[in-house]
Parts: sequence; structure tokens; C-alpha cells
Amino acid sequence: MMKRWYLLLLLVGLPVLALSSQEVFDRLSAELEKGPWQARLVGEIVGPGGEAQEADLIIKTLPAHKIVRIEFQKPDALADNYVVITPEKVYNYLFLTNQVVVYPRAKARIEGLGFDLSRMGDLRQLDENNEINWQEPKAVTFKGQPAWYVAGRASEPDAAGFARVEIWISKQPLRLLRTVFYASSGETLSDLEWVNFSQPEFTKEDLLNFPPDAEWIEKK
Amino acid sequence: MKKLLLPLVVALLLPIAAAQSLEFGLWAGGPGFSIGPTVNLEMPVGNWTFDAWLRAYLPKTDEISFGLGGKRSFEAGPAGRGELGLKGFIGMDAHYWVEGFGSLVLGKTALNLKIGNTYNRTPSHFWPLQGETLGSYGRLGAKYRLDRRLTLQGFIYLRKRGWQAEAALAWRQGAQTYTLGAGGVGRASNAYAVFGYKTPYEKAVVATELRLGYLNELKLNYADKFYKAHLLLAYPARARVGVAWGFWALDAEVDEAGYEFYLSYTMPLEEL
Repeated sequence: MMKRWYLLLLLVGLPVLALSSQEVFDRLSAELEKGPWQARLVGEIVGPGGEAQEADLIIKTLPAHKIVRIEFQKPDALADNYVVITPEKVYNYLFLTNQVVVYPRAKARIEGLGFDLSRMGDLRQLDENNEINWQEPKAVTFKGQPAWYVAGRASEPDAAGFARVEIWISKQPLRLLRTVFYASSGETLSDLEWVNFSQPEFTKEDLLNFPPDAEWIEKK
Repeated sequence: MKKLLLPLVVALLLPIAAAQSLEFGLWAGGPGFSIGPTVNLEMPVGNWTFDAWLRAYLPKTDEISFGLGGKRSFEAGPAGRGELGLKGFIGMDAHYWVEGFGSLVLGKTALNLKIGNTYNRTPSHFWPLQGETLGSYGRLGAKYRLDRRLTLQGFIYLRKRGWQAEAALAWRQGAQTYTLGAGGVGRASNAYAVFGYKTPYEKAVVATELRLGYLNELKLNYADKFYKAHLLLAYPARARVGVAWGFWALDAEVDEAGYEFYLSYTMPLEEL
């Protein structure tokens, strides 16, 4: 008898306990917006030629100024290049030619990875703009950690640069664990695990730091 | 030719409202004394950038020259970029210079190519409408990253009755970069060695290049957030020095044939 009551309580309580994707992203964003943070992304991305390549990126963010810096360690073809995204501009540094190419943020598309990297920064905005139709989050275990799994489909794959996305988010502490982006053909565009999360004290100048001898190319 | 000049100048300056920048310069040089005010208008339109140049030249007004240039860029984000363009100038005394150029950086490889032809070269080394040499010429440069520490680099330069080639290996050790290579001019026996060193110094970058042998020259470059400076000392006797700060730049060169100064101010026109 008691078991039936527990079951009934569980069924009645589930809709109340279940979080929407919006709530999960709100909580995650609130946690990540508390201060500067850094994470390493390791896995695979599809290169410009369409071939899968080993990837190792360092992401540094300064939420107060909405600045994201992505430093490429691997693949070899991108190593030592980096991209800095601010609300107004995107700065693309090319190591081999020691050039900084600056684009207006509105026109920039961080190409070369099969998808637009700059849009990964704010999942909440993608949700609010209905650019991705998110499914309800599922409670899963990721490498022994309790996590949410959220999958979504881009309403306009051509504009988004990907057709489908899967995200794993640890529940405690709230962190991104893994992101996988897929093309319309079902091919994986990127499969990256988020590791080595830390909270160093960055300044705006630290993230907007470029070699002083670099050539600047300003795009309009 | 003189009748054409005014309409051309007007046509060049009309698109000023859409321009990204306008550079004013003052060139002076000798032997003797000549002076030439210069104007360079740069106008980006999407992935295209157009340039227009004008240089007066006093007291010899026959040396007044003007030029046009256009280039198209191809962007691939962090993967690389390419550029393809053409520029040329013509002077009142029918001297001319035309040059096609292209560059590509994609992943571990960078290439740049220039092909041009100059007839009756103007005497300036600083004014951008300056052919590299009389007659036809071509220069192909390349870089290839073997890994994150090692980069192979070199160039081949062919011109009328001569050539130059150079190859070097650059390796990074921490924040420092060392370069070691060899080059040749004209004949294999006219060889020279290349040494390079680049290092951060506080918040600046200092780079030096030394060529010893058939060519003898020392180059020093300094760059920080506010200033860029360069110095070249060469033998047979030639010296060049320059500094750029904010929107200003000043260059000077002296060699056995004479001297030159070039002062320029670049006015950004983004607000217009």
C-alpha cells in the first residue's frame, strides 16, 4: 500500500521537479556569470577540409564584459591562433602571418570549424531567440557525475551552422561537461569535453592582448 | 595628361564619405631638394578594398603621379585567409608601375606572391607607388610550420638581370624565436648567412635580423602598444630609420645616392 502511495507521489511530483531547458541554461548561465573562468575543450572537430581532427582549445571568459577568448592548441593547423569575441567585435589572430583580422561582431562568423564558435557562448540566448528547439532535459550520469542531458535542433541549420546539438551539464557544480554538434547529414561537426575548469582573475586587457608587432586588418 | 589630372583627382576624392582612412604625407629628398605632398584614400566595400594615391612633386611637376589599387580578401576565420589584388600608378611624364599580388595563409602554410613591371622608376623608397626595380620582377615567399616550434621560411625574387633567394629555419623556445638560414644573390658564390632573434621585452617585442656575406645588413625592430620603430644599417653604406606612433609615422633613409624623409598622418574616417 505504502509503495503505491510513493509511486503516486512520485508521478504527481515529477512535473514539478522537472526543469525546462530554459531553467537549466538560466542556472548554468547564472553560475558561469559570477566571475571570470577558464576551461579546456578536448575532443574532435571537423576541419575546413571536412576531415575529423583532434582538438584542444582553451576558453577564457570575462562575463562582466561579455568577452570570450578561444586559444587553439590543436589541431596543428590552428595551433597558436586565437579568437577574441566581444559584444562589438571579433578579433581573429593568425600566428603564421602575425595578423589580427578584426570584424564587426554582427557580421562575424567564426568559420573554419564547421560551425560558428562565437554562438556557443550563450546557450540561453539561442533558446530565447528560438534558434534551437530544445527538448526537455534528461537526468543522466556522465563519467560518474549526476548530469543533465539536453538535445536541441536548430530551426535554421544553414544560419546556425549546425543542425543538432547535444549538451551534458553537471548538476553540482554547474558546469558544461560535453557538447556535440551535428550537421544536417548527421555527421559530427565537433565533439568536445569541457575539462580543467578554473576561475583565474582575468582582466579585460588580459583577454584583449595581442602581439604588439602584429599587422592589423580591420574589416567593415 | 595634365587635362586628365583634375577630373581624376576629383573622382578619387569623391568617395571620401565612405572611406575608411585618408593618409596625408610629406615626402622630401635629394640630392638637391625636392618635396612632394601625398594623399592616400582607402575605401573598403565588403570584402573589397580600394585605394587611390596622389603625389605632387616639386619643383619638377612632371613627376606628379597618381595611382589606383583594388584587392579582394577571402576570410576563413581561425583557419586562415587569402588576398588577391592589383595596383598601379602612372606619372605625368608617362612613367608607370603595375603590380599584381596575392597571399594565402591556410593552416600550416603561408604563401605570398608579387609580380610587377616598372618603367622609369620614381626615386622614392617610401612612397608606396614605388616599383621594386626597373623592368619586370616577381617575388614568391613561403612559410611552412613543421610543428609548433619549427617553421621553414624562404623566398625567391626574380628581376631583370638578377635574382635573390633565401631559406631559413625558425624555431621557438619559450617566448623567444631564433632564425638561421642562408641566401644567395645573382650567383651561387654570392652567398650570405641569415641570423634572427625575436623576444618579448616587458610589454614590447624586439626583433633583430642579421645578414652577413655578400649582403651585409642589420635590422632592428621594436613594437609596443603605442610605438613601432625600425632601424636598418647596411654595407655598402645605407641606413634607414623609422618610427610610428598613433596616426603618425616618420621615416628617413640615406645612401650613397642621396637622402629621403617621409612624414605621414593617417586620419580615420569611420565617423563620416
